[in-house]
Formats: sequence, C-alpha cells, structure tokens
Amino acid sequence: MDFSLLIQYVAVLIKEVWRRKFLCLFGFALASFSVLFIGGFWPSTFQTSATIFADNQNILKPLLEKQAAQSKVQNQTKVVRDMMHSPRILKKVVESAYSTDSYESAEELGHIINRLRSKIKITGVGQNYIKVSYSDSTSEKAYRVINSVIDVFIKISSDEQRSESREAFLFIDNQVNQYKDQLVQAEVRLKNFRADNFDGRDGDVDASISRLRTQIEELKIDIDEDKVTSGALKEQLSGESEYSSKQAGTDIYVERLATLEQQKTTLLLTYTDDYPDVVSLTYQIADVKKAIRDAAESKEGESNKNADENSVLNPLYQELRSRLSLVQTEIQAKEKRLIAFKRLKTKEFDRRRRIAERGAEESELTRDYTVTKRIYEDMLERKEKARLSMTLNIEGQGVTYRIQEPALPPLNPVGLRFLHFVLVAPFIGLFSVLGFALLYISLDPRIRFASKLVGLNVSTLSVIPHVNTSLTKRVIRFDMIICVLLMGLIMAAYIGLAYVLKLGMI
Amino acid sequence: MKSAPSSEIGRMGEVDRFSKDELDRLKIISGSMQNSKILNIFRELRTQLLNTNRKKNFVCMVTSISQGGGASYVASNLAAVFALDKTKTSLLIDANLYAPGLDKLIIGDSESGITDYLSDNSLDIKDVVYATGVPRLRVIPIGENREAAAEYFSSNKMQNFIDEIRTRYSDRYVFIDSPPILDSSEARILSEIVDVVILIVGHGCVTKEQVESAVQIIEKEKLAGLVYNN
Repeated sequence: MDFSLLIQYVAVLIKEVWRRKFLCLFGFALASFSVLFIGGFWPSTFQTSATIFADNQNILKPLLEKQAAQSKVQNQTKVVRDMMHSPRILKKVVESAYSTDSYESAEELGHIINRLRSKIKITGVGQNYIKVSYSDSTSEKAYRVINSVIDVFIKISSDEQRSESREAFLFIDNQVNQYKDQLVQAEVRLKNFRADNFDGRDGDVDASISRLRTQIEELKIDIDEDKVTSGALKEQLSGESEYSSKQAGTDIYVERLATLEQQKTTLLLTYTDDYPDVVSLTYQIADVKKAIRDAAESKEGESNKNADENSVLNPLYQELRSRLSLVQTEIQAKEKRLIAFKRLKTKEFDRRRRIAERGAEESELTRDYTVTKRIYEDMLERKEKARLSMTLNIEGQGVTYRIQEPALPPLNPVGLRFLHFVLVAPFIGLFSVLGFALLYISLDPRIRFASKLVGLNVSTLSVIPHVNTSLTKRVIRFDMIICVLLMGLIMAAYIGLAYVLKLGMI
Repeated sequence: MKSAPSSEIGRMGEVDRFSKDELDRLKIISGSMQNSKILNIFRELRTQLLNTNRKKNFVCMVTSISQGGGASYVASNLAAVFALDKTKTSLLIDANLYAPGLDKLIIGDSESGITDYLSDNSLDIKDVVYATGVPRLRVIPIGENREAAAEYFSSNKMQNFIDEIRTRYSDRYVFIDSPPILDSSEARILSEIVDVVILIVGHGCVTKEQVESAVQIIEKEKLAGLVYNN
C-alpha cells in the first residue's frame, strides 16, 4: 500500500472514530468487558509431562536369529502413542485415576476415553526417549492422571514383554521336542540301515581296492624279480660241475709256502737265522713242505684205485642248486598269492557296486540325521537363552520401558490465564473499535478520499481541507476532556470488575 | 443596522469590517489569516474559474450533491476570495431554501431577501442587497417568502434579475448558494440560468454513483468541476 494512502486511511479512520466517539467508547467498553468476562470463566489448564525410555531390544531378536524372519523395528514414539491411546490402557487409566463409578454407561466411558486421548500428547524427544504430556483443569488431576497413564502403560507393556518371552520359550521348547523326536527317528533309521548292510561305506571299499591294487603290483614286480634271479641261477649252475678234483688241496699249501718264504726272506734282510721269528718261520716252512709231500704221496697212491674216488662234491654247485630251488618255491607261492589278491579285488568291486546301489538311500538318511542333529543342538542352545530371558523378565530385569523423568505436579497453569485476559482485553477493545471503523470505511460506498473522484468524466477543481474555528477547537477540547473522563471511568470499572472476578476465582 | 445597497466599489470601504475573531468564527477567509494553506486553495480555485470564463464576470452556482456537503462554506469563501482582489466585487445570493445561513455575514439585520424580491414587485434589487463585514462582498439573503421558491426561481423575473446583476458591473462576480442538487428541484432550475456550476462533494456524504448522477443533471458546458470538501 502506498504510504500516502496509508496516511490518508489513518486520518480518515481517526476522523470517523472521533465523529462517533461515544459509540466507539461504548464499543470499546463492551469489547473489553466481554473479554474480561470470558477471562473470568476461562478454565485453567495445568500441564505436566514425563519422559520414558524405550529399550529397543526385542527379546525374540537374539533368540530367533537366522531361524525366523524378524519383524521390522518400528518407530518407538508411534508404538507408545498407539499403545497409550488404545482403549484397553485408557480404560484402565479411567478406572485407576478416576473411579469405576465415574461413568454410568459404555457410551460415557467412550467419551471419557476420547477426552483423555485428545489430552495425552506423545512426542519423541530423541533416540528412544518419549515425552508424554497431559493437561487438565487442576494440578492434582493432571498429576494423578499422567502417573496413572505411565504406570498402566509400563505395567501392561511389561506384562506383554513377559508373556512374549514366555511364549518365545514355549515355542522354542516345543520346537526342541519336535526336533528331538525327528533326530531319534533319523538315528533309528540310520542304525537299521547300517545293521542291514555290512558292506561298509564307499570310502572303506575304495581304500581296500586301492590297497589290493598296490599289493598286486608289488607282487607282480617281486615275481618278475624272482624269475630273473631263477634264470641267472640256472645259467650259473649250468657252468659248474657237480663234483671237483682233490689236487685242489695242495695248491693251498704251495701258496702258503710261498708266503712264508717271502716273510722269511724279508726278515733275513734284517735278522740272522737264529732270530726267533726266522726260526719260527723256518719250522712253519718245513711243516708246509711236509704237508705238500704228504699230499703228493697220498694222491699218487689213490689215483690207481679209482679215478672217481679222486673227485668230491662241488660246494658252489650245491649252493646254487639250493638257492635256485628256494627262488622257484617263492615264485610259486607268490603266484598263488597273486591269484588270491585278484580274487579279492573282484570281490571288492562287487561290494562297491552294492554300496553304490544303496548309497543314495544311506546318504539321505545320513543327511537327514546330520541336519536334524545340527538344528536340534542349535535349538537346545537357544532354549537355554530363552529360559534365561524369561527368567530375567519374570524378575523384572528385562523391562523394555522405564521412566526416565518422572512427572511432577504442575505449579502454574499453562496457556491463557486470567491475568492475560486482564492485560489483553483493553487492547482487544481498542483494536475491535478500530477494526470496525476500518471495516465501516471499507464497506461504506460513500466517498472519503478525493482520489476516488479520479476517473469520473469531470475534473476536480480543488480539495479543501477541514478547518476548525476557535469555537470548534474549544468544543473538541471539551469533548476530549469528556472522553478522557469517560475512559477513566470505564477503566476504573474495568479494574474493579477484574478484581471482583479474581476474588471470585479464589 | 441595515447596510446600504451595493452600487459601486468606492462606497464599499465605508462599511464596518469583521474582526479576525469574527472571520474565524464565521469560517471566512481573509488576506491576513494565519492559515495560508486554505487561503491559497481558494485563490487557486479563483484562478481556475477566471481562466475557465476567460476573465469575464460570471454567475456561479455552488451546490452540493447531497445534504452536508458544505456548499454554503465554499460559496461564501469563493465570494470572499474574489472580494480580496480590490478590483473586483462579489455578490453572494443565498438560495439555499432548506438551510439558509448567509445572513450571518450581514452586519446588522436583514429584512428582505431574494424570495421577497421575486414575489414582491415593489422591491428593488437595492432593497435586498446587504453589505457584509468583508470588504467588497455583498449578500442577498434568502428572505421570508420561501414557499413557492421553485416557481419564483423559474420565473422571468429571476432571469432578468440574474442578467441585471451580471451586466450592471463588469467587475462583479455572483455566487449562488443553492440547495443540494440531488435533493431539490430549485438547484436544477437555478443551474439553467447561471453561467457556471461548481459541485461540492462532501467528505463521506455521497457515493460515486450519486456524483455521476449529479454530473449528468448539469449541462456539461456549465459544469466547472468538483470540489472535494473535507
């Protein structure tokens, strides 16, 4: 709005108000007294609040981890609001904070519950902290109701928590029993299966076959080696005669004689003939020579008797024959063993085929058993946890909600108080008068601004301002004194009425 | 005391004059007044009227659109501002049958007025023109015979009267304070015989539609314009 236009509006407003000054004073008085009266009967509102802490731990969460789908963690403020606004809690609050005979019909109870619901405000004030506010007409009532609301809420949520953990325990216990039965059945089935089948398991047969194969291979190599040994012995044997000549005996003495003579010659280079060692060697040489002679004589005498008598059994031949015989015996034994091993291998193959035929059935039984056993053991562990949680809850250790800031009895009312009305009413009176005047100026089609004449098919020659004569000035002054006096009277009456109303309130 | 009828400018200085306080009480402007703003506004209005009528003397009807517009105040001050010029005189005729009041400007008593003159042939113009406390300003009051004013105003005598006061002195400017134009037939009749009409729009008295209606009643050539009176 243009500033000059605003000034014009203000001037016109003042003019209009002054023109109807007594009406305006009456309007001012009427509006002020009306507001004062309203303030006198305006109900006081006492508000109190408590803060509760919501423990976010869900008892099923650690218990049913990975085993069951988790319900999504909800907004705690919303949960608390829904719970506190629920009729079951509010009904208990009505019964505890008021009395059971405070309502006569279900409809009346419904009204009381609705009123309570509208007055209980629940707001989140941070992570897991929830502020519960309640306002009522008296401090005592507000304090009593909020305590009742908090107590009932915590008790019910605690009971629910207990029943939840108990249900969780019973559920897990039931599950454990079911898995136990299943495990026993699986065990029996597996035992029966194994009792009916002696072939053992796949791994055993494979190990046995592998072992047999190794043994067969080793045996074959042994047999080959023995056969080579046998061939070599036979060849050596063919080169040796079965018997050997006696002449061979003198050769030893001749060789011995030569050695002794060489030793004697060596000693004689240093010592004389009478040196004991030389003497000893001389005697030894003589003995050997004698032996050679005896051997030669005996040989000449026997050669005439029988030529066969001169030959003896060849020891090497005998040795070779003995070893050959031994090797051949071993070859025969090993071949027998090889045949036995091969037969065993065939049997193991047959066994493995049988195992493979029944393997699917066995693996199913085994798997069933293993899985059931694992789950059973897991559930058994969880059952113990559930038992612990349930015990904690029963002892009141695992309560989800607890009071962080307890409610206090409100000392002063909140919202609009009588004093506010007393202070504000004259302003309301003033502004209502000005507002009505402004409304009147706006709605009245009569021209109050020279600018409104613009646009007509005729020019405006002049705008003549209002002129007050000295008489009118005196009249205005007189009117002003009257107005001030009236205003003083109105305000005196106003203060008096306010005081009376205040006393009435006390 | 009955003043002498107006005849010439030279004789006008002989009458009694209003004191400053009397002028203030009567809400009449004067050259020595402290509120020069209001004086200048009327001077400006005078200049506009003179320019409109090419500086010839004229008969101007001042009428408000409805009751309470302040036509008498504007008419008397217009007459006063013209009379401020020593070379001009002004004559103020009170034709406001329903709320006459210009006789207060007359020093002394007035016996007859315009209605008496129109109804009584024995009266001369001189008999109804009275001097005022303002130099060079004369007034013809309404008179006592107001019952058939509409008929008198539409009579030939009225026409002749207007012609005579217009033509007798070339330096005389005539202002007629008439009743509200929308409320009376007299104002319409008078608008026929005058040279210039000024419409007074009173603060908070009329709507825009009423202004438009009033404008349509008056001949376009005669309508000098609107004056907004706070």
